[in-house]
Amino acid sequence: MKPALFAYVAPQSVEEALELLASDEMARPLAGGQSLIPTMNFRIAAPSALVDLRRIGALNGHAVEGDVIRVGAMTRQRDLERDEAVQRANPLIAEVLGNVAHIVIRNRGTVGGSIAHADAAAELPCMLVATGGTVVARRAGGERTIAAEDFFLFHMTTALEAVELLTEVRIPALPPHTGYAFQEVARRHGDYALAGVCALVTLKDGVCSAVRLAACGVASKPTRLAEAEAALLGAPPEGEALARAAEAARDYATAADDRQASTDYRRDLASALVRRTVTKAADRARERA
Amino acid sequence: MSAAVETGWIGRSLERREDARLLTGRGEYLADVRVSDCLHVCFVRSSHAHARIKDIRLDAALEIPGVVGAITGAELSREIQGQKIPVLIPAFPAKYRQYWPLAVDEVYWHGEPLAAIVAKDKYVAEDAAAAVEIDYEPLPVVTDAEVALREDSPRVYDDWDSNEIFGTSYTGGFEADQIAKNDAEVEALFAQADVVLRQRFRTQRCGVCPIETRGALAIWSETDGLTVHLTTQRPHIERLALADLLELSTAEVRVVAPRDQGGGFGVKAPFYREHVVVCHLARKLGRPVRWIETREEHLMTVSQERDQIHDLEIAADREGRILALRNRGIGDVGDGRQGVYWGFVMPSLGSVMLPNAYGIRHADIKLRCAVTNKACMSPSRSFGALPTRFALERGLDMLARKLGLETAALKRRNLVTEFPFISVTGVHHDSGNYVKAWDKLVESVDLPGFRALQEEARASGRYIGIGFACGAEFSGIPSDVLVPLENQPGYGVVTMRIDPRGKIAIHEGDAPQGQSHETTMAQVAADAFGIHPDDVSVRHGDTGTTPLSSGTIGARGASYTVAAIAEAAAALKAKMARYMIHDHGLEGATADDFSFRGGAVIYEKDGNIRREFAALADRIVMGSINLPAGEDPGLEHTAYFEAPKPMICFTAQAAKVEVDIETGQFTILDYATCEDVGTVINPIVVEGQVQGGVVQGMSNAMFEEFLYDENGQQLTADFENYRLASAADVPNVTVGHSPTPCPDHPLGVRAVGEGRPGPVPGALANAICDALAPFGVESTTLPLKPEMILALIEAGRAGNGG
Repeated sequence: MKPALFAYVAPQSVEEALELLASDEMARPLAGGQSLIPTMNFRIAAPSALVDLRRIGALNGHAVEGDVIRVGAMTRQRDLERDEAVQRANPLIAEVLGNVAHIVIRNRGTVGGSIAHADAAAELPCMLVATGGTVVARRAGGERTIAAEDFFLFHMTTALEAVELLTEVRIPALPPHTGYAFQEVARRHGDYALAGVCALVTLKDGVCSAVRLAACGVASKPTRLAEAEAALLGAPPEGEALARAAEAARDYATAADDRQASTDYRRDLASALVRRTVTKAADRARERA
Repeated sequence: MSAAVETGWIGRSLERREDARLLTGRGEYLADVRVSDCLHVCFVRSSHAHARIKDIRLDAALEIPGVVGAITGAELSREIQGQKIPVLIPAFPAKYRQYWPLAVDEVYWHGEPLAAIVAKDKYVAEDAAAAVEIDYEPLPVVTDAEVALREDSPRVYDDWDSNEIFGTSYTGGFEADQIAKNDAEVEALFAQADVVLRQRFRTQRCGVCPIETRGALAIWSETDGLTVHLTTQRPHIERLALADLLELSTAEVRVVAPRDQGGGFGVKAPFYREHVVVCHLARKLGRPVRWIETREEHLMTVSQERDQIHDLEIAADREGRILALRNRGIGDVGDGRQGVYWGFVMPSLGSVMLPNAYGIRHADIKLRCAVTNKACMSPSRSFGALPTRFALERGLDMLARKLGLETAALKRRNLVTEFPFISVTGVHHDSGNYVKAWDKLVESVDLPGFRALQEEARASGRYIGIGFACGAEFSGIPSDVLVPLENQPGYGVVTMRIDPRGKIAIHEGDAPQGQSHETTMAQVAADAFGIHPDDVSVRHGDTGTTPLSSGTIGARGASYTVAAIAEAAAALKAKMARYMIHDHGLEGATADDFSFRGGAVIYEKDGNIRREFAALADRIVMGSINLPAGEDPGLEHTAYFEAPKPMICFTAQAAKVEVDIETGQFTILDYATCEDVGTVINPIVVEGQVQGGVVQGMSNAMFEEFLYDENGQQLTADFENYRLASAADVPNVTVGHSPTPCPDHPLGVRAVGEGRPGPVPGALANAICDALAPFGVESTTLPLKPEMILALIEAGRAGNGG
C-alpha cells in the first residue's frame, strides 16, 4: 500500500529538530524507518510530517569511554554490532544484535530507533534493561538521563515526553568476572522473540556474586527477572539454585495468549531460556577468569 | 551462425538465458511496461465477511483532486453483460454461482471488491478509496467448513439449499449401486484386516506468495480494440473469457503476459474478476488503466489453498501391506466463485491423488466441499494434493509404528511395481521404477547408520529423527483429463519458424513465470537441428503471435510443450531433408539419411553432400523456385502433442530433524530427494524446481497459515503475520536422480514443476514424530508449530507416566 500525504524535513541540528517537532504535534521523528515506514504504508500511522534525523551529526557515532559505551541515537545497529572496540567492551551487544531481524534491516535500523520504539518483544530494550543502561533525552534547553528500567513503561510506550528526543544510549561495559548470554525463541530467523532472555552472571569463588536477568517477549515490557536473580545470588549457577531460578522465571511470562503463542508456552520458554543463558553466561565467566 | 557449434544440448547445465537480465534489474514485469497517460486503479474492498450493502457513497472520493472516476458494482453490472463463460466452467456437477466483477447488493467475504477508484496515481487512488462511505447490514457468518455442512448452519448463499458446493465419490464407479457395492467390499476388507489405523488429518489454509503480485494494464484503441498486459499463466483462456464478458470479438482482444513474471505457482492460473473491471474502465475512459495489486490485497484475496480435513482409515495386514483405504475429505473452498476452479477443483484433485504411488487395489474415497465466508480457494503448486499427501504419508508412518516396522520398508512394500498401473481413483501410472528411486533415496540417507546415531543421541538426551514421503505426480495433463476437468485442451502446441539466416523462433501460447522456458526450449531445438541455442529464440505469452494453448499450468511445459517442439523440429527437418534429396538428386534417400550437426545438414552416405543449415534455410524460404514436387516453400510448422495416456513423474523425499524437547523447536538437519523426471533437459533448471518446490513445502509445513476470526475478519494480510520461510530457515536440499525415460514423450522427459511441495509436510512431520517416538508423539495437523510439538511431548510424558 501507499502512505497518505506527508511533509518531509531533514534538520541539521537537535535544536532544529526539537523545534520542528514542537511546532506540529502530528509530526514524527524518522530514525531508520524500519518500523515507522511500514506502519505508514499500512496507513496505521499517518504523521503530518517526518522529521528525518539522519543529517544531525550529533546523533551519529559511538565510542567506548571508560566503562560506558556511548551510542548516538542514529547509530546503525549493524555498525554497533561490527565495532571491535564495542565487542571488547561488552560482547553481549553483538550477541544480542545478531538476533535483531536480518542484516539488511540492521543496516538501516538505528539503536535509538529500536529503543524509542520499545516493542516489548524487541531484543535491544531487553539488553539495555539487563545491563542497567540509560538513555539521554533532550528537550529545548535541557536534557536528562533515564535508567532503562524507568524508561520502558509498556509495549511501545516509554517515559519519553512529547517535547523530548532520545539522543543517546549508554550501555555499561561488561563488569569483571562476568559472563554473558542472550538467547531467544522465535518462529523464524529474524522474527521478534516469543521469548528471549539476557543473562549477566558474575562469579566469585564459584558462586554468583551478581546476577542480572531480563526477558523480552513475555510481558508488556522488557522485564528484570528479579526472583530468578535472587534464587541464584550467593549460589553456584547450577543444580538446585538454577532449577529454582528457572522455575521463578515462569511467573514473569504474563503476556496474554496471542496468535503466536500461549501464556503457558511463554512460561515454558522463559524457564528453559533462563536455564540455558545462565549456564552459558557462567561458562563464559569461568573462561574470563 | 555461431562460430563454435557443438551438439548434444539436451542434458547440459546451460546457464539460464533469463538470468542476465533478471539479475541486473532489466527484467520486464507488468509494472515495467511503459505507457503514457496511464491511470491507476484502487479497489474498494469489503470490511465485512458477510453483509448486505445498503448504500455506497462515492461523492467524497470523487472530490479529491486527481481522482478521474469511480464505479460501484451496481453501475458496472449495468454497463457490462454477465454470462456463463464456457472456458471458465468445468464439466463437474457442482454449483456454479454467477457473480459480477464488483459485488452488487451483498458481500460474501472480507476483502471482496465492491467498487473501484481511478486516479492519476496510486497514492491518490488509495486516498480516495479510503473516502468511500459504505453502509453495511451485517449477516450471519460461517468460517468453518464442518459447521457449514451442518443442516442448521447459516447459509453463505440464502437461495442455496445447503453450503455444499460439490461432493462426490472417487471410487467404485459412477452409479449409486456400483458405489454401494464397492463400499461394502471395502468394509469387508476392513473387517478382516490384521490392523486398522483411523486418524483425522488437517491442513491449514495456506499456499504460495509469488514475489510479483497480480496486476493488469488495459489499453483501449478504437481501431484495434483492447490490449491487456496481464499477470497470467494462461493468456489465451483469459482472452476468450474477456472477449465474451466484454462482448468483444476475439479479434478485438489481445492478451499479453509480460516477458517476465515474478512467479505464479498456480496463483496466476484462475480468471480473476479484477481483470474485467480494469479492462472495462480502460474502454469506458478511453485511457490506459493499470492495477498493481498490493501485498495486502494479495494476501486477502488469493494464494489460499490447502484448507482440507481428511478422516483417513487404512486397513493392513501384519506385514504392513495395505488392503484397503477409506477416506472422508472435507474442503473449505471459501466463497466458491472464481473462474476455472471455483474453489473445489483443488480438493477434488487432491482426493484423486490420495492413493499416491502405492499399489492400493481397494478404496472408498469421498469428498464434500463447503462454501464459507472466506476468500475463494485458489490453486497453489501441488494443486490440491498436499493435504492428501500429508494424510497418507503420516498415516502410513503411524501404521508402521503400530506394527513395529521400519516405515521406509513398509512404504517400499506398497509401492506400485508393475506398469502401467491404474489407481483406484483412475490415475494412470504410465511407466517408471518407483522402488529403484525409493531404494536410492534410502541408501543415500544411510538409514542403518542414522538409526545407530539416533540411539546414541537419545542416550545423551538429544532427539533426532528421520521421515520419508513420496509423490507420484502428473507429468502434464492430457486432453482426456483436462477437457472434462476444465473445459480446456491439454495438448502441447508450438509454432516453429526458421528464417533465411538459419535462426529459429519458437512461439508458445503458454506464459512462464520463472520456469526457464527460454533456456530449456532453446536447448531442445538446438539439439534437434545441431545448431547453437543462441540461434533459437523463444517467444511466449502474446495471444497476438502464439497458438492457442491452456497455459503454463500442471507441469505441462517440459512434458507437453517441449514434446511439441520435438515434433515441430522433426517435421521441419523432414522438409529440409526433402529439399536436400531434390536439390542433390538423391532419389531413394529418406529423411533418416540426413544428420543435422555442427550447423550443417549432412547426407550420411556421402559426407561431401552437405549444406550449411542457414544456406538450406535460405534456399527454402527465399529461393522459392525449382521446388520439389508437391512441396511448399517456407519453414514454418505448428505441432500439437498429445500423449496417448496420462504420463507420470515421481519424487521420493527424506527429512532428518533434531527436536529440542524443552521448547518444541526443531531444526532440519538434512533434506534429500530422489527424482524420476526421465530425461533431464537442463540439470540446474530441474534442481531449481526441486529446491524451490521443497522449500515451498517446508514453508507451508512450518509457518504459513491464513487466519480468520469468528466474524470472518482476515488476520494475516501482511508478511509479519503470514509467515513465509526465509533462506535462513531452510536447508539446501540434496537432489538425487533415478531416471526412467518416459516412453510416451518423444525425448523421454517427465515433468518436475507441480508436485514437489506435496510430500514435504509428511516427511517433516514423520521425522519429528520419529525423533519423539519415545514420547509416542504423533502430529496430525499443520503447521508444525513448536508449541504444539511441546504440548504433544508433554502429553506423551504424562501418558508414559512421566
